Amino acid sequence: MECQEAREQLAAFLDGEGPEEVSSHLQGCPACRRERQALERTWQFLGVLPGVEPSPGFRARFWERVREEESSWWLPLPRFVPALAGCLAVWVVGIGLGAFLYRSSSQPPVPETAPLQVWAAQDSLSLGSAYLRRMLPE
Amino acid sequence: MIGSQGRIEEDSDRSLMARFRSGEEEAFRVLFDRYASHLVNFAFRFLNSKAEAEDLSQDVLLRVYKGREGYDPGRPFRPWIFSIASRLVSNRLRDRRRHPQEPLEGPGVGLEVSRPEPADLSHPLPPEALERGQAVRAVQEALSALPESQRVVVLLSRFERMSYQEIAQALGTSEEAVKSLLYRARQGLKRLLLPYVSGPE
Repeated sequence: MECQEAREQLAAFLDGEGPEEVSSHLQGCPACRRERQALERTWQFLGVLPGVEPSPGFRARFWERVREEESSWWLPLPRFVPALAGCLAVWVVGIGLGAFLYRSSSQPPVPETAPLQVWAAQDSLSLGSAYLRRMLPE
Repeated sequence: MIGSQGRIEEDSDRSLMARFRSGEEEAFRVLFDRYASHLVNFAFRFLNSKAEAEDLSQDVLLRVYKGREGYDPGRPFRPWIFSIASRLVSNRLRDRRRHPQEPLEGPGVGLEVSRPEPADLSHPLPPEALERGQAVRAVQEALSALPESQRVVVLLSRFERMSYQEIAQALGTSEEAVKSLLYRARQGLKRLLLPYVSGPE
């Protein structure tokens, strides 16, 4: 191995990722040994950088952000809820009214006819589904 | 594989993520404690602001927390979390370039370091006169002088002790590319820092 190739492989070799031939080249080459030393020392010198520790509130702030992100998913919903409730109410009333009108116009009268004030007190969805069943062909 | 018999703190990262994916919140907390400091340091060495580094680290951990379904347990965990960190750091640096704000107070914000004259790399002091603060600043300036692509491989190799394979996975590149980047980075660092390094031949 010549010096040029050894030097190209030197960093990788020092990282344990280079070819073993570098080692044998170094044994016979003082110039490349100096290069190796220079690389090793400057690499080690990076260690003067102090580590920083996360500040005391780091963990608490993280979980606060998690809560904020999870609750913000719900934020658009309150706007829709009244609108959705309104739609449902109209649908329910509409089916109930339709059931009432159908009964009053049909003949013979169906046995389970209920007066208006009674059906209003009942579950109008079940009336609506009863109405839908009668719509289906026999 | 999964240390169900042992303490959860001793589980590997991958088995912790597997446990987290199946609903064990405690497994995430162990990972959080393992990586918080590493992430903050990694980000700090790019951004030179502890507040920003902590903010970004929380962004990374949030993505891990919310993205548990997206993690492939067949992949090693550390390159994955650092791929997120590298991408977010890169985005933050790009944002800084687009929207330059008040210059930061300089390298070392948030550190308890004395502030003598800034290191002058063109006329370096002899090694024996080098104070700790000056040494720190010299290293910070040398790292800042590196292109971003070289800086990231230096940080992942030197401080996270990741292998070339892990770094390649983290950065979505090849081992050859990592090797080439590290070669150039170490040449650059040698040129800038050798005058500061003490010791006889």
